[in-house]
Amino acid sequence: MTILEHLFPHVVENPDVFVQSILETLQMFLIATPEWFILGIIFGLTLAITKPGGMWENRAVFQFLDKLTNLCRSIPFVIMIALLFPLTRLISGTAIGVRGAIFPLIVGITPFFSRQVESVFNGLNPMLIESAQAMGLGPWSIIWSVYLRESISALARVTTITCISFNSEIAVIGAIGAGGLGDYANRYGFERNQLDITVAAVITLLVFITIIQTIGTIIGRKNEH
Amino acid sequence: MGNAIIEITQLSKRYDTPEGAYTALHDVNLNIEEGSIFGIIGLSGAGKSTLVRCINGLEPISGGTINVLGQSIPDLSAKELRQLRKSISMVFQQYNLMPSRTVEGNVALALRHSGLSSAEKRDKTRKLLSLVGLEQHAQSHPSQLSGGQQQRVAIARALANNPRILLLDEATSALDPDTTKTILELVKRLNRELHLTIIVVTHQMDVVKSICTHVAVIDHGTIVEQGEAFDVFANPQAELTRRFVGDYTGLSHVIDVLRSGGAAAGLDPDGQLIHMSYANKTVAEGLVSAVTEQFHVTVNILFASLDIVDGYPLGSIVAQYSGDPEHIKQALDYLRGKGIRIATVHPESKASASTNAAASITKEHIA
Repeated sequence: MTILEHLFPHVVENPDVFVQSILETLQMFLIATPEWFILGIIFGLTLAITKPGGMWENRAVFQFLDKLTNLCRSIPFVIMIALLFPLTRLISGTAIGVRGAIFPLIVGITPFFSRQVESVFNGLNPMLIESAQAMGLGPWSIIWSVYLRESISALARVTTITCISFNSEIAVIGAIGAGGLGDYANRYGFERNQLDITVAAVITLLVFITIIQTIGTIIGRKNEH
Repeated sequence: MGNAIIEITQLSKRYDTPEGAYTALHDVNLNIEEGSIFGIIGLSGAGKSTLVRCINGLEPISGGTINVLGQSIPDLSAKELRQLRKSISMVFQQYNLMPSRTVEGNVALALRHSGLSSAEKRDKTRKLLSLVGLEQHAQSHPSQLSGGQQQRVAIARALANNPRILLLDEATSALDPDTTKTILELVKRLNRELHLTIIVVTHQMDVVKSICTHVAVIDHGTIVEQGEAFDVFANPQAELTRRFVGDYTGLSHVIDVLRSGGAAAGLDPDGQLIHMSYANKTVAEGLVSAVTEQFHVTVNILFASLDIVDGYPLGSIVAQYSGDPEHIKQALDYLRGKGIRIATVHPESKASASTNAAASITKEHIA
């Protein structure tokens, strides 16, 4: 106890705030992740199969999604939050706190993840799709049995990368009003110059990222053949 | 023989590329009989793969008609085409097995939508794997298998829906000669035992020679020659076919040697180089000594080979005839009368034999 008190005096002095901020970060992560994961898979898959020469070639859909993705990716996240402010309030009822953070977080990360997913599917051997077609499999079977099934390992890898980027988005939105570890490090560590708080936030995030990375690596390796 | 299972008339296929239209196939006419092993041979880029991909509708056609199992491919809906593809299986050069699935899983994938219960699927998968001799590898992943084994898995997968037609697109081109032989033996057995019609796309004459009953030679998107494999081998008409056959039998090599130095090879400059093809070895060899005595000509044999095409022997002799030109002519006429195909060899021309006045040899000449 004394060592902790000695190393992290400000954290120990007010442990509830620390615990609360960890919970808020986890909340944001756990609520938003399933959504951007599913959306990213859908958009990435749509991009990959509607591209010129794709299985379901569709110029209009591809061009629209492609341009939309580029547009969203070109806006820095901090500006995106401000831009989405009215829409967030309409959808979530509030633009602050964890509740107000979910919508901009999803909008911010989905284009990044969609691109990663798209490149995974584009990297799939086209001959596998052709041989599935020659076998008489329909498009939905091909999506399920070839596109998704054969990409598990690569999808695990890009999901891990995205989770880590997502963590920094959580910290950014936290610092401007949503709470969590970003807010904790900013308000106490930076503004009050309590360095031990910043260090504690960094260590917590490091542990968090290590867990994500380990899970991603295990899933990826298990499905690599 | 049986009925035409695949009928293609005036088939054409064009691609629109940024550099303009490109014609991949032009005026292709083919009738493939049920139960045959039909070879489609050509150089790379000749359009042979495009042609087979038209047969199972992977490639939409630009003109002409194509009927498979009594159905017109271009008129089928996507769903009907998928249904028909269960009867037309395809095996690829690069095997195209799903890397994340086991051998068993790869075969079972073809049985998706088959309406079988999972126990029935497992049973069928086992049977197919034992048919291709891989039952002990059911739980392996494709990456753990050799090329030949992977191609056997691909064949087992192709047979899952009890197809009536099997398309082999350069299926042995990535394999070593010994493995190629075992795969070809398997293909032949499937043709015999399951009465499968098999289309073999290849650039290897060896493949055609060892298993095909019929062959079509394709060059620049057009079929330049087709017929029973033996006839095409024995009496090649088109320039490309003669090159394929010549390269295969070693005749081209002999001509190269002659061209590089006929005199050095100890040849009589006034002699005539004659290529004799025949369907019966013993008869031909007896005749060579017979003409020597009967017509007083000297026959100097430079090269001889014997092949088995579609199960029938086919021999070839290149010899130099010297003596009185009138006697030589009589000798050659006599040989023609005995069913031997006679062609004069011009070392200057790579395509070798001129075919004028050459009698065709047929399997009937086999005693």
